[in-house]
Amino acid sequence: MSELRREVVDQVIVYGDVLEPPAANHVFARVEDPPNLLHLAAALAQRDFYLVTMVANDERELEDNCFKLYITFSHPRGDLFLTIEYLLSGETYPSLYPHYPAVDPFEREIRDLFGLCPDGERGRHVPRGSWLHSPYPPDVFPLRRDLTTAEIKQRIADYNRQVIRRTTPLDTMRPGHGHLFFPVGPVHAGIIEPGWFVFEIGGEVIEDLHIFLGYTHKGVERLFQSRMTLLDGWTLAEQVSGDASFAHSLAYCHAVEALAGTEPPEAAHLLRGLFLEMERIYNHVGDVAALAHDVALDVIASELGVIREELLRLNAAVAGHRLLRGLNRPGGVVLPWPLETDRIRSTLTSCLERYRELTRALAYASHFRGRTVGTGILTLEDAQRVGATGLVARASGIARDYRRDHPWGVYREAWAQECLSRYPEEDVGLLDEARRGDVHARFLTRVLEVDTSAAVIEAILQRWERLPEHRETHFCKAVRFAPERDYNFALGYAESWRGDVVYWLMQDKLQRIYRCKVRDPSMLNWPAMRLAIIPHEVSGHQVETILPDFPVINKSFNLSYSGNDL
Amino acid sequence: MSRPVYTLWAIGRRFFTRTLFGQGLHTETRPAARKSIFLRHLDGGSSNAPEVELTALNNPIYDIEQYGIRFVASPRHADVLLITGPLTWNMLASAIAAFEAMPEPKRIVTVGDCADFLNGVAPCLFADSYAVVDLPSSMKECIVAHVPGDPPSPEAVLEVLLRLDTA
Repeated sequence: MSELRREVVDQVIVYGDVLEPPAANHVFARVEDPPNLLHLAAALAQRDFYLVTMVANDERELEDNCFKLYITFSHPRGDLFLTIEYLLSGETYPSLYPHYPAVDPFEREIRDLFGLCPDGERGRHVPRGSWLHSPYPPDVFPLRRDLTTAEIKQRIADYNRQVIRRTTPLDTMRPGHGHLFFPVGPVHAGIIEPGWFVFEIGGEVIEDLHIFLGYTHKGVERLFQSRMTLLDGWTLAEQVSGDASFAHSLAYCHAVEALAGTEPPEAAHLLRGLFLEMERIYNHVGDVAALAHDVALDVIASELGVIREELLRLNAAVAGHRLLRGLNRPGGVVLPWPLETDRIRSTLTSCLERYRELTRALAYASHFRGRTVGTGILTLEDAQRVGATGLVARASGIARDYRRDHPWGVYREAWAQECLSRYPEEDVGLLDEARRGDVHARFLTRVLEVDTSAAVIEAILQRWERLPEHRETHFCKAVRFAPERDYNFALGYAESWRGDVVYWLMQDKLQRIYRCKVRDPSMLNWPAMRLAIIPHEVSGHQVETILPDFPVINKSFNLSYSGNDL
Repeated sequence: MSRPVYTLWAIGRRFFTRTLFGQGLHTETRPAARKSIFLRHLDGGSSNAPEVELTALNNPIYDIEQYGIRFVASPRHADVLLITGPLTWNMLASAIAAFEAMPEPKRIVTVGDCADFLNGVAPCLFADSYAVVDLPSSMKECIVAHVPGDPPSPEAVLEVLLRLDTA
């Protein structure tokens, strides 16, 4: 650990200045020179650092009088984050794309919301319009601080007074020779969120896939600045991605606690671990049900649907909300009533027993395997190249799990780590198949993670019952913000069921939010899904995907549109 | 066909059906279909929480099809448009297109606190956002019910849907 830190600092000090870090597991450095930034990125890429998040910030009214970029990396070998602060001299910056293709969605987002563009050739590949579509005037950048929200609203309304513009990137695209475009969306045939997929098909084969998102762009990051204080921002964090409400509010609260230097009580840590795993379980069960439905195994899908409903009702009975909203506070957790451990235990046991049986039936059923094995393979190399994260990365063989790599709360304890790495004897055979990157691997990863989550929950419940305050409902510590930390930032993170949710939070001098950047794992995984679908090479063989396999592949990723578009 | 012509045609069609056949068209000419509602879900930019609950309506516990209600794949087949979430500027044109594709009479049910378009001061954080737009008045006119909740439970959605035509 300290060796890794020394290595990082040695590397960084060549190109920039090391500053006071926001947390103990953090290295913070400032780089001012564009060539130095590129050299540093090249050195980091060579040493297997992966991109965590990239944040632009309008600090023109602060002491440095410029836009800034904060680029955060981490390393698989230890619990360490490295944030590089880069000061822009104008409205362009050197692109890290040659070293980190994962910055692509971030650069597009920054292009639309801040009007900052990569310089040189790369700038031409980052067009406007991925986040803000044609209804937005091209000279309005909503995260710049020179316009008020009311003024932005007015500008947009004026721009659309005559006609609502509806131009799409498809207008200027032409399919390749012999191919045709097959557009789907943004309103889909099922009960899902809006997004536009344009398949370029030659015969049955998907030759290329263009994914246009942004339809659910709700201006969340501006709302954090304009409406929320540090203490109540968790209510908005819960609205970012509904099926990961708890993980988002947890990551937000972690960021606030890191800013304030508050350590929540032990009971709050236990509860946070408990609810995070309950959220993981109900979502994994729902996803497996949807996968079974997509391959026309509706009896199993229905049975799994019943289990999911029972788990949602368990959430409501234990925490007062079916999607586990309203529990986290900066500084701790508030329960609506004392925790009923017996209820959790009995429902989980009965649900997971049936779940085990059904999923093992699926895992070995030839008609299920026929659709899933070898379908939509995301290779390890591709996953590493585009910086895939979370469940998707694990299914492709990247051992990345923030609960293990950057542990917090209960996950710092040895017993929790043991629960995460221990699988039942009869499942060890599935582990190998669960790392191959296809739909089946993502299915098995979900199946296996439910078991480890259940083990964590059981271990937490045992410790909970031994706590003297286990009949209470209020487990919060006061959070105080120090004025000397004004305009400092902190990182908050949690491993949601999709992967790591990362909040980058900066406080201003009124203890409000100066900037809050939310990074849902979906943002890194959407480009990975495209790579799993377009023709690509898998261990020397060319593989192609046919159009009817797309729904299964899409479901196996099950990425959030809302978390990506914010 | 260019857009203005299409819009004129759509307005004309509505005027025609409304004045000649009145509001009773639906119930009088389609008695068999009175309680069988075809739903089309439209996400105007929600936080995917209402979708979690709408998906649950299809599971065997709620089994929405036992009431003759089902989710259909296209707005062209739909009696009712279920709108979730606040409407974003990016979704506005697509939402109008989906609405215009519906057959007459068009009905809209809004689901979730964020979609409470008739109540100007919705208990929703997104009301203040630059990216969120009000529902066009032509669509507002067609709202027949609202299901409150953040997100509403499947029971609540079902309750409202079952009262739709008998109320």
